[in-house]
Amino acid sequence: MKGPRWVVAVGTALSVAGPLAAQNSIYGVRGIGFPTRPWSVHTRALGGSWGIFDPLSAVNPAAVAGLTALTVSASYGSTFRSYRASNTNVSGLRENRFPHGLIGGGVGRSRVSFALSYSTYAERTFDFTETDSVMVRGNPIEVRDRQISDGGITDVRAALAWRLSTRVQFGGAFHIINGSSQISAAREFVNSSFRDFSAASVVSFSGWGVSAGVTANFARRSVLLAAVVRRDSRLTSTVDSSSRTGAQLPWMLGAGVSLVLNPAARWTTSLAWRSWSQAASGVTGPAFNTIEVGSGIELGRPDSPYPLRVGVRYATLPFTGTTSQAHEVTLSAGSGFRFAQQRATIFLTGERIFRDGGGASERAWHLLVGLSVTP
Amino acid sequence: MHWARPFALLSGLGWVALACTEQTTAPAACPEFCLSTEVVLVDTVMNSVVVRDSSFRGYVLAHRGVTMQVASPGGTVESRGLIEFRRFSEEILFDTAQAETRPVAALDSFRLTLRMRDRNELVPGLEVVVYRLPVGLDSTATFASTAAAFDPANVIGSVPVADTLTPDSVNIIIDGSAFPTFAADSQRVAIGVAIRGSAPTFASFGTDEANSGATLRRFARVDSAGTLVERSDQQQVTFDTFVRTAPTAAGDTALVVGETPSARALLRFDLPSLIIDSSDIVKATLLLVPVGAARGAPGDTFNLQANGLGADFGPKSPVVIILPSAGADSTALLGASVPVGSTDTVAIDVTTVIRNWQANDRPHSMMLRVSTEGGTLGGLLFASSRHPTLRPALQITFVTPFDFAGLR
Repeated sequence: MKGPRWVVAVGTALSVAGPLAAQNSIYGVRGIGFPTRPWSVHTRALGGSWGIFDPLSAVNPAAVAGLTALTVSASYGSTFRSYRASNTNVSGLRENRFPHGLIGGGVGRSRVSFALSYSTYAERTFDFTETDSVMVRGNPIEVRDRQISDGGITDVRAALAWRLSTRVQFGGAFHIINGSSQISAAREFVNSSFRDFSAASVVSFSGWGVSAGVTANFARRSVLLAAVVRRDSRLTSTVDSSSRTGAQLPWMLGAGVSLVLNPAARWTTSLAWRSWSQAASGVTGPAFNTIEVGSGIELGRPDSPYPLRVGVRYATLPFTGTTSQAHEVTLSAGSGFRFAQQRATIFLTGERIFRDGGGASERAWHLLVGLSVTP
Repeated sequence: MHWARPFALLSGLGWVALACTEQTTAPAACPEFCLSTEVVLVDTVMNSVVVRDSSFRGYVLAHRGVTMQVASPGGTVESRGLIEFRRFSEEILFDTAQAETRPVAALDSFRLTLRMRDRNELVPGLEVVVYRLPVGLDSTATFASTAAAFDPANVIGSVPVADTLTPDSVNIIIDGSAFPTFAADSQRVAIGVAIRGSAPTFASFGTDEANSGATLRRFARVDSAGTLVERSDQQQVTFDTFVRTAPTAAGDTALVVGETPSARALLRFDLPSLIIDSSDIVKATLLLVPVGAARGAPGDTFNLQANGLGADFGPKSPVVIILPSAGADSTALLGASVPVGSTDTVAIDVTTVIRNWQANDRPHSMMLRVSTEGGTLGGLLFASSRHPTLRPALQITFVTPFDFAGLR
């Protein structure tokens, strides 16, 4: 009865996953939103470096080959943010999200594994208020404006991986990119002789992508290498049944290496490049190509009950409100523990994020918990 | 690992609790970090949107008005009140407990009570003068037809009104001999009311239509075992009205609103579809240019309102009064106050009317009228759509359709 019980538990956990989005940012106001990563909580603790090798992350379809038994995972995170932009200081922002979930496993006794996953592609949730004065009929009239966007773009991936040998695995995936933002704009006049204005609509997004990757290991898995390439389509937005072609989503090229330094320490580094500048014609403001470098070390033997993971990540950001590109530095740490006869793992990760440039400066704590179950 | 499950459970509960508290509202950092599409506010004055208009007189006659406005001589208009009371009985109540009445042995006096609702507070020395009129008043009475009765020889009472008095009752004692034909007129009394002051002025009195008409109390004596004792009774108004000097004609290029009998103006609009179909109107103001000074009693101010129509049947179109919803601003229903003598452009907030056009399938027409129709001398002549330069205009402040499609 243990198997069905876990299925019910995981199913319940997934069914309550309400807002499907990831970490938010002031840099997500422009462009298509704030691009986020399809990483598991485990990977986040390692500065994102493990993502290209991680079967529970949706980065490299070849990594899915690591799923030989049915596995379900989901994550949940809370962000605590503050920022300064255009001489506006904001603090005390809190958001809670379910950024990533995956189910996968092996296909019978074949060399093929599969994975279905959802993750946030870009997050675009904000609620801005502004008090201003506008000239109406020759007189300055005080107004209170409010702009609300609630939603984002998700990436649903179907991946297959093939274990060519014990050393080399290949994988490919198809991505369905869709989502929506409920957007509303309102203007309230302090002078009550003017009627307040409000309008709301839902902007829907759709697109697709393909990805392919390879992983390889050497020296009894003490050296891991991986590479991935991904190509996404243009993003189509639909408002009130009217569709238009929007931003061209980027190419992504990534590579990584992971080394076992000693039996209780594994060091991983990965690099990714994305051609976000292609999106410039479809968004307001500039768009920049981005690079991302993550590095992390995991301390603890493979059977250690409480491994310690630390990481650091540097990434440039694709969208800002000015002509200069912003960047972020993330320090992360995390751990996890297994239970239920080693069939379930809870991952815990904390991230401290520093984003600067592009006309703003942002600081955030990002706390995540993940659950992985192999029934 | 005995603590692992409780820890996991507590962790889960903690995260669920956190999920209940979100704070995403923040001050905007525009324009760099705002929506790429903004609220676009447009303000425009349209001079040719009134395409057909007419004015019609006779909606509320003076004797149906809720006030009786009396204006003294010397202004642009003069008016007088006419009141006839119900018939007094030949007997008078003697014993209230027994409901016993006895014949009137002697008529002593009357006390006329007028309920003053408004006056020109800037003109001191107001005096109410009461005239004896022939009984048999009706709605055909005019200023000219009753002018002869307002002869000084027919003055039967007067009273100065304290400068601080408004509104309140004005009592005037009239001698019993003031009505020599009282018996011959079957105990009926008709009076005329005029006023005078240190300068042209006006006073408005309540009428029977508003349940605030004048009253006339009779003081008489009846026989009580050989002794005459005082008794009194009171009668209400059976007819009241006021008559005025004739208004001047509006002319071909002007419309008239108000005065007595009350006139209304019907304005029909042809608004651009961009505004009426697609935009969000935040304020709309109807601009009327007077042709000459606003008419009315000296020192008075009247209220001009613009109402939408339930259907456009011409002069008999039913008007639609839109009450503000709870918490909504009601200033748009107040109309425009127009001081008599003013030549300024009259601006009426018609936001509610035009937004109602957008929300409902209503004719794009408005009826202009004064708020106390039939009870005021106030009225306005304003340029019609046929006027070459001063035609009615509509100033609209609106928000263009929010460009959600432009968000990117």
